[in-house]
Amino acid sequence: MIHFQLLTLSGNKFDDDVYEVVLPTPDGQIGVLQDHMPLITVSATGVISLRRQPHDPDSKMDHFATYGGVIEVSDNNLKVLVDEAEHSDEINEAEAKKAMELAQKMKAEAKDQTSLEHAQGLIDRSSIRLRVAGLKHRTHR
Amino acid sequence: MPSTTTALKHRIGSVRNTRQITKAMELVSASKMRRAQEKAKLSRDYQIAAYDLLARLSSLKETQIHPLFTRRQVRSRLYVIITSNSGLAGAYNYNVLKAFTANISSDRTKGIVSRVITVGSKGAQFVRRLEGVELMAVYPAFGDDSSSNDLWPLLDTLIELYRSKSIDEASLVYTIFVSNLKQQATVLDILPAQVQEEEDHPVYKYSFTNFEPSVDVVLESVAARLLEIQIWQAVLESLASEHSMRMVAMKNATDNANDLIDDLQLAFNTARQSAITQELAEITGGAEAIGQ
Repeated sequence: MIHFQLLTLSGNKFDDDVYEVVLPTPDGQIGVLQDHMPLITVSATGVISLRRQPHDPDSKMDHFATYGGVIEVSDNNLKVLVDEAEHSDEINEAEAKKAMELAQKMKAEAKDQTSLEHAQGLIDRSSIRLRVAGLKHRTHR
Repeated sequence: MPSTTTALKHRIGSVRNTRQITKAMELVSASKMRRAQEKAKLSRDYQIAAYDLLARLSSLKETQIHPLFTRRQVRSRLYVIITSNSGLAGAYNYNVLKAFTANISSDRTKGIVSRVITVGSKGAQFVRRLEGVELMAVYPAFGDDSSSNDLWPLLDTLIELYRSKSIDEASLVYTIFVSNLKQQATVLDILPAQVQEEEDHPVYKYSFTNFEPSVDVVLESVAARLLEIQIWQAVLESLASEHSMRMVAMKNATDNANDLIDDLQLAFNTARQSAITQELAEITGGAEAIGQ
């Protein structure tokens, strides 16, 4: 087991022993299990998934949408520092869809580089949230 | 003396109105203070973890050459002063500005140029009148509902100024919330982002830690984030202090209003009684004159 802490500016989202955590990094996804080597890396925008017990099926995994931060592994402790993290239960799918449509409209109407980048950022965000919300669906079926 | 009693009555009425306002402000500040404290508590674990990380990174050779970590000869220093937009908060703004002026006079003797960014208009009003200090930017005070995203414009300016070598050091001047009754103005160095190891808090050193993709990329992402959390925590502490000091100031004002009302009431009663006595004397005097 490895101790996993998900720390954000608006509180600690997760703090417990888990079997496995899958994290998004700029170079792709990494899985962290017990006795992982000491590591410091950057977290990318994406989905953090965790399995509490070794034999838990995928449907029992927890998922968080995150938008970048720092990952630190040392001594069977995994600390993830991110500005924001949303659990799949916290995401309202209908709302996320609406935000996505709005962002796409903004991108289509963007006149300069800054507003284009801003819109693209919103689209990336919304697509992660939708993905996490979708994972929840599969779990409940 | 009807004119004295009416005048006193008016004064009592207006002091009562003032008391009502100060009492309301006291209650509002008390609840805002609690909210700000709770908010500060939420990000505390994050802050501690981030600070540990920064301390450990500071011990690495690679960090010494990173633009945000290198120490260089100090020619100009930037102060980020956190004050409020509104007054009536006791000595809140005064204490912060006093801590700041103590620092610039020591800078001046060393020949260091002082530059300032203020958060909150009260600080800007003060710094504008100072000579030999350059006011670079003014940000409105962060309100009770602000989020850490609101910090980014300030943070970007700070990093840009440091990278372009317009400033060689940066310090935060803010108020630490010690307890409900004690708040302390303090100066915290934030750039260069080096953390000195404290004796009572030894750091775990990296011997064989891997950095992915590279130390530089990690530092790039971490440095800004760590700056952000330090400033954010300072903003929250200042906010809690502001509300707490306003609460105490308003409590004092309410108490003063109570004393004033008591005094005025006494004066009013005396004046009314003497008026009655005088009227009685006049009536009896008149009755006696008729009887004779």
